[in-house]
Amino acid sequence: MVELTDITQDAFTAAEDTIIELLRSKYPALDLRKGTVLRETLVKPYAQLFAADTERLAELTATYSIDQLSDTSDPEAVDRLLSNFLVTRRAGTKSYGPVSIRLQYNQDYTFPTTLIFRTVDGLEFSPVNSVTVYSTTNVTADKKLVAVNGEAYYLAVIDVQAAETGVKYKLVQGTMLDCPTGLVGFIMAEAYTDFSGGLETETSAQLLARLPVDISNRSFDSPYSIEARFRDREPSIEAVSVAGMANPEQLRDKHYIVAVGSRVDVFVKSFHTLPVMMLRKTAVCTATGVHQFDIGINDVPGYVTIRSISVVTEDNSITIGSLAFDEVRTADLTGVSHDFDISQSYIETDYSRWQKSTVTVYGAAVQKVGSTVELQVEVSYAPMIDSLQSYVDDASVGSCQFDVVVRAPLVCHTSIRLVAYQSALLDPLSTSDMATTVMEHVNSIGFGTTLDKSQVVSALTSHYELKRIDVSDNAANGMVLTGWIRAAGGTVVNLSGAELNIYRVTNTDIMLSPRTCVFNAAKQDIDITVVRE
Amino acid sequence: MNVATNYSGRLVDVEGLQTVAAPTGMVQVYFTATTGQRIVSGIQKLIQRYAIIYLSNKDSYYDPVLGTDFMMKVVNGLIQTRENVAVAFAFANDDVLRILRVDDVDPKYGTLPDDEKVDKVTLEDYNVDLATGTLFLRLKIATKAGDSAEFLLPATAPRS
Repeated sequence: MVELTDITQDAFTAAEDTIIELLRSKYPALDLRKGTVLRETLVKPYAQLFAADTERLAELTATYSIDQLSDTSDPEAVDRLLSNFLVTRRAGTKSYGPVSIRLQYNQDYTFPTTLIFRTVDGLEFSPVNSVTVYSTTNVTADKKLVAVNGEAYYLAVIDVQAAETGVKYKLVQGTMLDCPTGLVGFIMAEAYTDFSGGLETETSAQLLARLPVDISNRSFDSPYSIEARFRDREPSIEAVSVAGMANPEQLRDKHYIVAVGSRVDVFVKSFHTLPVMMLRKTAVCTATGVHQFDIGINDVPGYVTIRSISVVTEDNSITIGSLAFDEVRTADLTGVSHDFDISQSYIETDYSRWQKSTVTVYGAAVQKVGSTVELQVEVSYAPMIDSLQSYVDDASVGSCQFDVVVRAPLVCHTSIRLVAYQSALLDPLSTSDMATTVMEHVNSIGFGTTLDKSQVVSALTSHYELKRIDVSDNAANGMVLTGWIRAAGGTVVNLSGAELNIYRVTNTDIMLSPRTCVFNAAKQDIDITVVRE
Repeated sequence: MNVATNYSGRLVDVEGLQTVAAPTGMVQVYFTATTGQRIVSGIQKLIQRYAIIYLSNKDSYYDPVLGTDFMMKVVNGLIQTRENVAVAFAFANDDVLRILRVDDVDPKYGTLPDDEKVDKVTLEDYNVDLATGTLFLRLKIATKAGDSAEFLLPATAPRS
């Protein structure tokens, strides 16, 4: 609400001029010059009120005009206006992720939802559900403690959720937590992987930016409408990209002599930082030093890559590092009505919820053929691919005209190395915080863009006081950007240089293009050195 | 002072200063709310404008250039000697004349006759009433038409 104290001098002067003009047009004999009693007692007071009313009218007019809304507009006014278009502001979401807990005793532990884990910054998390992790001696339990070779503690990994919404609760892998509510045998805890979720309440600027998507019709016939449909279903989706008719990445409409329409592939970036799932797999020895296991379609729907494979020993401990492995992706299309051509290859089913893999592992153990070994498999994946596919396949929801397949995006796994220079007069910077800043920037990029050195420099210099960053190609201190992409069919494409440009490596025959690919960086892949000079 | 009684064709203002009969020497002017409000024009209107602007402080709400620093100096005790009075008056008078002359020729306010346009204002003398803490300025105002009038302008400092 505009008050008299909100009126600027310019607004007052303009109001005065208007009133003088109006009064003199009606009463030309009035002397309204500065210093006259009429000016002081009639014009000035009314000019103040007139200016305030003019501002209020402008404010009211702005609330009825989407064009005039901005991030500084009254949020309630923005919400009221946009509610006319059935658009609502997204509330913040709570961050969630796995926490690895070190425990002293090999016994059954129950983690109730009232248990609190807290970071040094005071951010609190609690188990999503009450969960019991059994001792390693329990042979039938699904969830057991893990003994770590050579260490006098046991590990339990449970899922926790932040106490409140907001991006600050999005922990990065390795963030330490304590347990203020007390836990028998508790030694320490840390974020097992980067957390997901954790969104701030949408700002007015963000709300207005997604307005074209949100006011579009909810159907499957345009990229905007498809995105709107998906975001309605899953508000935490970060980006959506569509390959439809005439898009070269759309391979499924080229099965015939002429390209047909109605095939739609929807690539969904359903994560901010690519999450990781731990699988326990029993691998069968097929030859000396060679084992195989399968990743079924329901194990990790929409998985992107296998990060590592390690052996789980008899005492239920795991070894550090990864075994060498090969992966062959196929698909299980039992009961699937979507149009896939798998006669030549399984490219068209890659990254869909029907993909499956046969993984061959080398050096896990020396055994007889047919023997088995327990393996721990770390798999990065795009969440919700299966649920979104189920949604579009629902008979009451799905399109009667379009064959819609939901896919995880191709991911350019990015590594960055750089040297930054800081004044020795300033307090030392935290390279960990700087790595987080760079990681957040990389993981905020959606589909269809490039990542170049200038973006990294901008991300850092906007947050930290640096003298310079070496962006040269100098082998010792220059900035290095590298990335690799597993395209459909298993082809691995490498990028490096001053920019990681997906356009340059586009190969639509393996669904690799800016339309299908997003960037992702893990904190451990960002190496920053700060030189104080 | 002479008070113009013929308002035909003139721009008029509302009376804010005490109205007096035609001249019998110098008269102190002061602002008052009179019963039966009257309109004024001519040199009385000019004196009224001069007095209002002279006694208004600069940087007042919504018009930072309207007014002078004179009252601020009086209230803050910065006028201690005759020289202080003369200097303070000189600056303040310059401010007022500039403001008056700008509006005098601004067509949006209509046309002013020469007997309502200021030519110059001089400080004839001053005296101080210690009992009331009031500095009285005796000013002589001359118009472009050649008319002139003397009036006393009171500037009162608050007493603790």
